[in-house]
Amino acid sequence: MSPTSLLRGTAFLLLLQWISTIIINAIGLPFPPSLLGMLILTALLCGKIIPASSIEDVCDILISKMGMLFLPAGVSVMLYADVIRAEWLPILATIITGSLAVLAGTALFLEFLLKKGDR
Amino acid sequence: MFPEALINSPLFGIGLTVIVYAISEIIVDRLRLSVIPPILLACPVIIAVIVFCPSVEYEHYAAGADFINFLLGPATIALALPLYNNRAVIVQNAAAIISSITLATVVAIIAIYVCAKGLGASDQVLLSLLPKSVTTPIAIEVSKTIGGIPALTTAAVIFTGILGATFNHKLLAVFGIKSDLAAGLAIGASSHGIGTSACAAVSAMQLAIGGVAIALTGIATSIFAPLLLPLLQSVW
Repeated sequence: MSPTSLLRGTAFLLLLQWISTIIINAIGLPFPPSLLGMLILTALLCGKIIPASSIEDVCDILISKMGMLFLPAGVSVMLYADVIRAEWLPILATIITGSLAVLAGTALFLEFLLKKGDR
Repeated sequence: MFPEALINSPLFGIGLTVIVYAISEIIVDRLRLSVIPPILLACPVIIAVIVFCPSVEYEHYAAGADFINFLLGPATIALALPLYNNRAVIVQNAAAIISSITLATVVAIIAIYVCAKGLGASDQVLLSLLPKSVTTPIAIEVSKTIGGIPALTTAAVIFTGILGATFNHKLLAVFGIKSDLAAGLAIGASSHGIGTSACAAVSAMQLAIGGVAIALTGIATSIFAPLLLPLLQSVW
């Protein structure tokens, strides 16, 4: 992992985010620019337009410590304490039930499809 | 407790985030608590600092924390790397992945609607919870479109993510899920980026498919939520 590759990789990711933000802004779609950036970078890698080695170092660092990047968002939940307190039971129960249903439903369904495909 | 010069600088929020997270990571590591994500320890600590230190306001923290939050943009783009490295498996299973995402989106909308309605949530709360499984920017837009409160949606999205990062892998083990493809997709679809970030330590394949699931679930929810909602409302 070299400092030069980190700097160039960072520069490239930021450039991609610039471009995605400009595109999303021009189209006016409610889609996060960073997710568009992810799709563009995937396309660039698949098309061999840029080599994976040029962004590997910075991507590995960002991904392995992604949990920390969500910390400010987690802390911001305190701002909504009043709204949550008013109807905390239905809110909590719905979040748990919804998450569980989607997690179980999706995992079991896809695993079933994959097993069926193997046969 | 903290001098003015520190509190009024972005250094305060950046420092608090990184230092508390690093300490949480050390604690998780030393006590072999790999079952809990460091964010679960770090989050209440920082909230406590803001609430209990009289000189500290949320705005002081946010001035620096915004820099950390900003890095989520490049980090999301970085998910392209595991996506690229696992492209063969993803392309090979494209049909199964797309049908699973469609199912996940429809299940989420119906489960949330029925549960919130059954527990007597007000209409505004119900509409705010509906897009809670998808990534924040899309969830906020969907919430606005269908008439929810974007602030409550944001809180629900984040809470869903932290809950997912904590329990997803344990629950998947209980369900007997063995394929990384199924695990990653289910995690991305149910608890977006925060849940998926917990896959980094488990498997690159899960991480890659989690990134795909975040994007696809976001797109599917912004299409299905406004369509299914009137249908559900006409039934119940």
